[in-house]
Amino acid sequence: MTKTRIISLSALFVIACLVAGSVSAYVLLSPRRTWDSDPNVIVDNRGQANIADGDFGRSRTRNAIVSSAAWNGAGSGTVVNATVGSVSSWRLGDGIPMLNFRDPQGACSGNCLAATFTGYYTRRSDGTYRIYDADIVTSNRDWASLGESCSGSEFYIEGVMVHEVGHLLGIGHSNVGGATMYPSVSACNNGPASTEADDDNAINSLY
Amino acid sequence: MKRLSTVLFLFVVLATLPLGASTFVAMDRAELIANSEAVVQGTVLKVNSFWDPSGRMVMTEALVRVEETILGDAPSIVRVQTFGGNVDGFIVEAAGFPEFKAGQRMVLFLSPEKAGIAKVAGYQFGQFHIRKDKAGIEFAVPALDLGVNVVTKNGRPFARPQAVRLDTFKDQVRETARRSGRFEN
Repeated sequence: MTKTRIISLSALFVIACLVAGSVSAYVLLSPRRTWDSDPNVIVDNRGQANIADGDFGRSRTRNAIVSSAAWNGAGSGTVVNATVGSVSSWRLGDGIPMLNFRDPQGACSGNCLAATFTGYYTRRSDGTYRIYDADIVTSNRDWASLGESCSGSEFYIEGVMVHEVGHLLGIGHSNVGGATMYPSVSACNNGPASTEADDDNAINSLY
Repeated sequence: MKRLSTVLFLFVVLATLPLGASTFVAMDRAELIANSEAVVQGTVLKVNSFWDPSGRMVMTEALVRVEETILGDAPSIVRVQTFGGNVDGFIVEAAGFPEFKAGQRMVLFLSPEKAGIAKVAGYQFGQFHIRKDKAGIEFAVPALDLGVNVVTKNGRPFARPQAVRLDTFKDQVRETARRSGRFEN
């Protein structure tokens, strides 16, 4: 092997390591976009009918979204608020972020647990992008909350909703296993309800 | 050297892919078949996005010309609807939902029709693009994008589906259906 070839391969190895390092980290939605002020997510006051914690999961979901263990404790202060309320005016693009437990248009059924509709953003005068809405719907299946036991085929609503709210705030998926924004989680694993360093880096880079 | 450059390029492309949202329970092929009335190979003829009658949601409808019915029965042209789309610049992103562009060839697992309109079973799990390699061999490439959050039952790790030669893929679909007691075509 010639000296030139060894140097070239070494350089490529270093570049590959750097690129691999960048892959194994958070990704922001493209184009990069942020809210002007902390969004207030209206959490459907009807709750999720098959959560048997006595409250249909609405309070636990709301509390998980605003928890200091999640996005609001990442280091940028409060970045998201949540209020249990009515979602009767639910409509895409109306400027009111909502979590609708009833999926009024039937968008999320079958193997869909939750769908977050994004895409509502406009360009600011400085060239950055402003989010003005994002809405979440859930299917009516297989949910549990921390207030009840979780069977082997159920999914904690707290963890999934903290993940979905991450998208609502402008974050994509991470390749870091265990991160809230890692794109896979197993049943009865509420790990995503608590953000990890990679998630915190993502939110702190945005806000 | 050229191959290494290509690999590095792919790393960079993958690192900058735009991603979205939504959470789905993983579906294997047997589950897809169980939830499908038909499995078809076809070409997208036309795509149209519109507000649904309630005015709350943007939807997209694709007309797909069926080239081959792999399983079940389907008309020569199927109407497939999905959520999300672009209406006069109002864009609704719905990651993990099937997407269509005119001219695309694909294999679709179709859930039972309602009023002449089908949906893709399992969302992107039931959509496979048909692509050719340099030798002209056709592959069924899973449409499942990286923006999909996948949850698994019983703690099983999720393995993203891989591209398979199209003829092999169709054989596998028929064999899986046969094993589940579905003898057709």
